[in-house]
Amino acid sequence: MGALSSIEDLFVAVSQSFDAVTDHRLLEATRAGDEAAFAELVRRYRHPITNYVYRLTNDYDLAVDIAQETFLRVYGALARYHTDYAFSTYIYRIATNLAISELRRRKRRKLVSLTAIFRSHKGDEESEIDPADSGPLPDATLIAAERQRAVARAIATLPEKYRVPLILRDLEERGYEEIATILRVSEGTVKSRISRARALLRDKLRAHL
Amino acid sequence: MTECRRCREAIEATLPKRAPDERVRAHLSGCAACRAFYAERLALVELLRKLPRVEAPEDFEQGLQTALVTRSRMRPLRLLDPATVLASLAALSVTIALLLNVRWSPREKILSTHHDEKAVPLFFQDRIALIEPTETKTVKHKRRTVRARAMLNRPEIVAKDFAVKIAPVIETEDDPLVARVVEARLLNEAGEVQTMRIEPVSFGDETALKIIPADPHTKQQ
Repeated sequence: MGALSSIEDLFVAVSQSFDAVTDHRLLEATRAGDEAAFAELVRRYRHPITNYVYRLTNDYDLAVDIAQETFLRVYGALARYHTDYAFSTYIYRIATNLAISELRRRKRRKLVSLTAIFRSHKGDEESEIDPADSGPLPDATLIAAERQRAVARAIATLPEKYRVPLILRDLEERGYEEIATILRVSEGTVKSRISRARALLRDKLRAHL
Repeated sequence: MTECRRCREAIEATLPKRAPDERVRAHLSGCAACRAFYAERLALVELLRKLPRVEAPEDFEQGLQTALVTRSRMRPLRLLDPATVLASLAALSVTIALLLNVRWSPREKILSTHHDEKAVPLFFQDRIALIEPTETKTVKHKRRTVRARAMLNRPEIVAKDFAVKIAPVIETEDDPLVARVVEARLLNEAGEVQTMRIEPVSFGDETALKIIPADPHTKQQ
């Protein structure tokens, strides 16, 4: 028991020590062959990237696939990575490009799953979320779920050039400068697209505002 | 009006995180329209923030690990490897050739053209030639050149144009078509055939011609 607790302590200590390490350091360590460093990068970004791609695609399985592919690309391009940008910018750019490519490919082949917009990632029931047991009353929960479905649907119907910066800004809370770098457009363009996206979204969600 | 525009730009820029600065707040206190705009934007951003965050599945790392192992086993493609470059160029050439319907075609007229009652007019590629049905002719391409043709311009062998009396039936080995002359219509897919041997297989009213692609190295009968 004593040994077990000491291992757990060690694990916690290692995790805490990793928390203090910058992404760039982790990348350098990965380049040097430290697999634990790459695992830490995955641990840091797996949820944000999955959530981001999910909001872009409205398809959970696809989002997971693209998130994994994103990390594979990062790993495969370790030697080419420059520390000019934050790692988050780099990984979001890769995820964005992969998601957009896939969406365009599906659009060409008419593979877009409209039902995925309404489907939960844990089953086929039409629910955006898993409501917490200790949450509001059932009616309120249903209303909230319906509202979330409507919001997800509205985002999904935004044109791609508005949808991507909006998600990066209002859901992922990325800075304008970073979004501009991710999308390779000017900061002014990002601002105007986000403003336009919000205006479009407001029109679509007027009933819920 | 300009103040309103600046105020709204500032509101857009600060959302979803920060509160508007003092200058914006001062404007809002005196402008109902901008207050309404701000309230609407706040409500919208709040709606977006209430969307639940989706997490990666528990086996995410495991799947990633498997994919990494699988890919590391694959031989990496060396883009600047000369063999790879040559192979890529060859593949590209073939693709372009297929797209443009490139075919090797003879530059010189290759069939005998003397008119005879027994001669069989033959449309070969885009030219007409006459050939005596009782003779074995070997069509050889003395010189070849690449000619890209549009699909619509693909030449045809029209069997209907064979002399009915002489060759009522046509058989091709590469395209197992056996038909009455008046009905047969052979698209010249055989444009890809470099050498063609034409020989009679029977005589009389049921005279048939057998058109087969022949190996140019095969000894002529």
